[in-house]
Amino acid sequence: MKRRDVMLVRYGLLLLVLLLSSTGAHRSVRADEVEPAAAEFFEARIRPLLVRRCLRCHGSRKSGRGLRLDSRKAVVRGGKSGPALVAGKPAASLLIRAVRHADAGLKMPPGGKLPEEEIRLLEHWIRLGAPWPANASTRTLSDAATHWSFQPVRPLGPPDDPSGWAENPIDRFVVARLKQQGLKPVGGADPVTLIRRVHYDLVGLPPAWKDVEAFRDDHSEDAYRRLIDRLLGSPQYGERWGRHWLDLARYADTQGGSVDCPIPAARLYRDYVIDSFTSDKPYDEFIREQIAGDLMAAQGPDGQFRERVIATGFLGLSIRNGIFKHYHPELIIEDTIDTIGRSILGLTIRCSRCHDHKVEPISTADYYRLYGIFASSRYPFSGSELPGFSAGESVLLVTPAQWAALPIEHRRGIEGLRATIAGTLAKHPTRKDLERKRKRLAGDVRRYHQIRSRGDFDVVLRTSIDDQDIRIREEISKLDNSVRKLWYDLKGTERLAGLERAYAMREASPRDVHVQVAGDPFDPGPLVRRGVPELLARGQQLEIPAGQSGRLQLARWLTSPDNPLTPRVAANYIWQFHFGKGIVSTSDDFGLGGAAPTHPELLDWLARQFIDNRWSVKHLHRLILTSKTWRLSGTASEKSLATDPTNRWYWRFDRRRRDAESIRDGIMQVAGTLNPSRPGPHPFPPEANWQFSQHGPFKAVYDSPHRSVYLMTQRLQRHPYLTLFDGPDTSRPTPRRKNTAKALQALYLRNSPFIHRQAEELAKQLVAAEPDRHRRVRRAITRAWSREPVAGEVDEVLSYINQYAARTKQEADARQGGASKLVLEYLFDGDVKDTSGRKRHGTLVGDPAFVAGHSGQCVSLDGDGDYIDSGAVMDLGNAFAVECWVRPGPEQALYADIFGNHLGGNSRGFVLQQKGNETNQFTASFGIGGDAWVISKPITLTAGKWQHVAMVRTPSKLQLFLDGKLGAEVASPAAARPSELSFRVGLGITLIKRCFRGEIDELRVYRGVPRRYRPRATAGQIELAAWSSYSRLLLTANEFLYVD
Amino acid sequence: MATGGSLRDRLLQAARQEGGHPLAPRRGHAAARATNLIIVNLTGGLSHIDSFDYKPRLQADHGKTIDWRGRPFFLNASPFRFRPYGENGLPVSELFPHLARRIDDLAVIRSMVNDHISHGQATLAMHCGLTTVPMPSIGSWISYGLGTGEPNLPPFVVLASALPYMGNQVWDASFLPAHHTGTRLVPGQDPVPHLKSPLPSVSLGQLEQLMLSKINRRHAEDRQRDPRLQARMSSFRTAAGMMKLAPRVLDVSGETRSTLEQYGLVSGDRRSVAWQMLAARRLVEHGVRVVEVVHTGSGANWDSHGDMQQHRTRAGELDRPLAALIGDLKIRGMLDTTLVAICTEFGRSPAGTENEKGRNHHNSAFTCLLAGGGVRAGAIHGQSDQYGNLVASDEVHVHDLHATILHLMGLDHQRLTYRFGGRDFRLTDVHGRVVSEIIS
Repeated sequence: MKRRDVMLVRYGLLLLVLLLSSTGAHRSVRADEVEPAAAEFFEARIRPLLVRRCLRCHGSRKSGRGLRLDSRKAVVRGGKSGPALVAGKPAASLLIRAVRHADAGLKMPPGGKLPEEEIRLLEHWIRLGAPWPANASTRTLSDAATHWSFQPVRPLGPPDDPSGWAENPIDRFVVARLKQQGLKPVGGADPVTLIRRVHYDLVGLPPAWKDVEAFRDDHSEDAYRRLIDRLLGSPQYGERWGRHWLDLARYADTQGGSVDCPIPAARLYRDYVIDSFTSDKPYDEFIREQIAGDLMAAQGPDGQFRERVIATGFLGLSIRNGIFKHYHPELIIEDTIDTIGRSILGLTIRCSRCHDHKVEPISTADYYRLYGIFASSRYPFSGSELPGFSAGESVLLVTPAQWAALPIEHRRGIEGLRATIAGTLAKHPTRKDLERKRKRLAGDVRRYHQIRSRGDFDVVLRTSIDDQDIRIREEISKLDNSVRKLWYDLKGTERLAGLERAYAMREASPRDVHVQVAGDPFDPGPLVRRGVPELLARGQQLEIPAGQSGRLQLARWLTSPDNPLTPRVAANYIWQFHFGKGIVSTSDDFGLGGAAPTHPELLDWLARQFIDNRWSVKHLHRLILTSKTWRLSGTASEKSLATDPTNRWYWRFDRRRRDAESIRDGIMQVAGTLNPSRPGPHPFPPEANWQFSQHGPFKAVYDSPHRSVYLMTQRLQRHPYLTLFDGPDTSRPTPRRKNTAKALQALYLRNSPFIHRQAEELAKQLVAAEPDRHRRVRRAITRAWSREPVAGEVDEVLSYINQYAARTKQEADARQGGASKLVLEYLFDGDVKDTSGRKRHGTLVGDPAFVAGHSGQCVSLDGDGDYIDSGAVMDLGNAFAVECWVRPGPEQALYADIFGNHLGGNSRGFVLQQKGNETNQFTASFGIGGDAWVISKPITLTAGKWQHVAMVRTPSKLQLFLDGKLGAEVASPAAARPSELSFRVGLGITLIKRCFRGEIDELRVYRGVPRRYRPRATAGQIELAAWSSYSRLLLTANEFLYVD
Repeated sequence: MATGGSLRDRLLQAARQEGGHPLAPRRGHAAARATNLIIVNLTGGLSHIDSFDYKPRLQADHGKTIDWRGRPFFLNASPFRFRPYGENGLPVSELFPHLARRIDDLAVIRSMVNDHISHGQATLAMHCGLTTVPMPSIGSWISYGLGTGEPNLPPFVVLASALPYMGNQVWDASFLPAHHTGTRLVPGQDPVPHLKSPLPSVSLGQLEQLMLSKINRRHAEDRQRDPRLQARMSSFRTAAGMMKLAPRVLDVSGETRSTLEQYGLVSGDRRSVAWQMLAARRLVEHGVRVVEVVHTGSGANWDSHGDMQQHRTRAGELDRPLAALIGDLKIRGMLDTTLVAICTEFGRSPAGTENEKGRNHHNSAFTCLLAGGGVRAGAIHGQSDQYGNLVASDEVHVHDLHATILHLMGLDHQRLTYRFGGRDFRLTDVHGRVVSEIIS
């Protein structure tokens, strides 16, 4: 293990961000008189230059020489050396003299002269009069007061619809807008399109044909409503809609960071989300549990204890960094805040970590109000690079009552181990080191604070702090690791007692935090009280009781009916997942930087409906699905398309491509291979065996017959299939899936083993279920595409299948070499005459004898230089066969050959040869150029017994037959190279001693492969191949991939 | 908004409003010096002071202690011999004899800095600009900015026998459209995933595809030939093109004997660094916009903590093929329009414990090399201090390197933006300066 893999974070570069807007609330800059071009020049060139080159030392506090370069006023005022800037006169400006190194006593920056280009930029800027535009966030604060999404949700009624088109209130909002735009809605979708659409929408799976037929033929008033109710009541609904939330919750089964350790318990959170949707848990409750479930659980009832603790996995799953436990906690919390911001509030809060938000009314102080809440909470952890280990950072799911009810021996066992662990840790020698190091760090941090508050800067001290931080983390790893074994024992004991652990949150010691200047956790600004962004608090900050983190209060604030964002954002997400686009198209950004709603009144009405109906997600589903708007056909009308080509105003329904999960699940559903149940734990390696590191991070892809929501997904190594089809980003919230049509997807759909396996399965079932081929096609189309075949379609499909089958058969024959011709035949009846008619008569070399053979006489070889040379150099191409009868002797020379025409080394040709010194184990091989060989597995011959052997080469295979049965084969599309050597019997060519010992009879060589050696494709196999092909088409055609 | 034209035109117009074909070649912001980019990524950290940044003082002061970040550190001299090469006389160590002879074609940046000292974060920064969260890779940004010249090949190809630090995040398109994700090829028998049809013959595959387009055509005709459906159909045609073209591009057997010898490639080899370098050239030749070669991955790489002699093994694999690549591009006249960036996430420390044989990570000064595509050949830019510890002049931050690479490709790093999560993102965040000193 490399102990110094991680060392120092280079300080200066923590200042990655624009610092110029000062951290406090005092911003006295006027939004004045700077021309846009000048403002742009300043923002693009000068501000970054000052930040990068100067502000480390001339930043938010005065430096030793009293100079600040973070506002025009400060620059003009200058420091102890006088004004730094004379507008319009670069040569007279001290700033330029300093960077030009004009005076020996004043050379800036100290690290080395700036590049000429940058100096010229500064000069140009001063020549322009040093324009310095007002800070953007001063503007937004006043704009924010009137920004639409920060206003209370209005209690609006839907407008009248004099046209009488509307069926429910949603339609009335929509049709009013359509009228304004001069647009007319198209007609409604037909029932078959509709059931397909609603199935995709609610459960992500194609409907069964019997359900389609029943719905199509059911003309009763409430047929559609019953359909919706049935789907909303199914567990598949939770799996589909839970997945939407998991996208927003950046769910993954691993931690992220450089090691990406598995989180075996993450699935409990995943299942909690799915079950919450299935049971229509009120959305406000759902959010509260995910933010503060552990605190709610403690208040009872016990029946909800487990799920509420598990719910905080939402926070627990914040992405981890690097290789140590809780390394860079400021980044873990940043992810938490970003996720809450974009998924629940529709705000991009994270920008305020380092500087006041440039677009939104969120200051750094606001950011650290929220930050304090999570700094007062304890995150779980699942493991780090060895020797790091952190079994303790998870939560045992047990209520006091359950604990008390446990058998005494379990309790004693668990308590005993806990005590042992605590004792071991307390006594561990590292403990003292750790305390000493912590003390030193605390001292250095204090010293650094003092230096910073004087406006000075100490690089050496700052880097040393990072260094010490890492050393301390190493010590903690050591400590953790000292009780590793004990922890496994404890966890085993807990499991025996029937207890499980969750990857969940706990309270830590509550504290307010300082603003981290420019995002540097060791550079504190003012202390801020925990709470929520000022503007959103509207004068009512959270009241956090002593001893609490504030998560409970935050959870309540987020879900207060008065919060203008949470219900609107949720209603908009739900709308988006139904229509493929939101009323606010930037669904994760409702701030000043986001898009305006297309139907603001409708959004407010939906949000109000949501709140008034106990935040029921299913209530919103019903409202939306029963609207005429959602049931519109996807057909375009020419006139409307001209006016509104992107269908912004909902005059038709937008066709959608199935998402990654729905493609995979749908294929398996149609193929009948989908296991609809929920799987158990992922097959991660046992924790005790984990040895993951940045050099060998955790990496796995687990195959599964279950729905895709249950696939194991990683952060560092994204799931190959899900990524290919625009699946969710596992490292940050995915507010909207992308929808690409790229060639690599087509390659997958065409060639992947998954598609071929599923299609073959479908074909088998079709063939087995329906003997009549016409009816079989109909069954296939109804099953995959949920519709009846159209006129002529069945015939067309059958003609394709026939054509495919015919081609398959024809090619199978061709592949096996076509008709064969005998090109050499030695019967060895007293001579080596070729009886094939080709006159390739052989020559005896050495002293072979003719003795009684398998049929008539045969040739007997003594293994000591005997062989037969045909004298014929033959090019047999890529389809040939050589066969003979053979009775081997009990021992053979190394690499003895029965027949062949290769020279060894890097020659070409083929040979039937003993495998080294393994007596009478024979392999077939041929050279494919260079040293490369194709070699079959060996067949075993029995000494002293007549056996029939054949070596068969087809364009795709090399095979050995023993007594007419396939003995060994190897696939090889590589071309055999013709040999320059004559064909011989009984000889390893290069060494005289490598000769075969035994009898050989009736040897024949064929160009092409005789029928008896061809695997015959049965009619059934050919039929299956053709139906498999059609099944692939069913599963990969646009009709399957897109939902109208 | 035009009101004329057929329904079909309007649908196409609607599709264009949603972005048109995402991979169609696009003009950059300015005239491009390079049309293609090859990144050679030396994973684990190439030691600058043992390769291209010779430090005579370090050699002289071996064993002395310096105060470094508040602690005493022992200076360790390079165990390798250096000698000057080329017209600029840059000393290069014995690790890179072949590349050294190409020194006049290279620009050497000896003042690189990166933001983090851990492999994962530093690798992320070198590819995506930020150390903290995964962002789009530089190859994805370029594909997004310029599209590609050959629709039958992916725009951004990564040759990686093993995964680098941070896995496939380093070639991910992240929030950019997924077309721009790097396609990883694993050197060996089947480098492109799902490229080979499992069907027994090409003609059966063609028959099937013919039927598929018939089915899809009718489906689309019933739906007013929705351009999105057409785009999916064309993706199948592209895939078919790729199945034909990619094996040809990756088959080096038609290369001349002398070319193979330059790279040190033995016939039949489809795996070695030599093959990867040659394949990189062939991919670029066939229009792939960006190729990254990962040498070697997250294990058994340049991370020589234990013994600097491990660098010998790595350099032995890389030196000759890499030099051959540059020479080969030059002979073919491709070097003018192909930018080669030889990068590593950080360098290695000049100091450690006494007589330590290996070196630790070092991100406050290291070396990267550029060649071709508008780069001033023979340039030596920036200096580290006497020991190679800190940058002494002309610092080039990773953001600056990225800005420079984009600039050479005709892209303005400040204008190449993508709106996501409430703001316009850039590869260079709010930083980056084009290093004009190394541009010819």
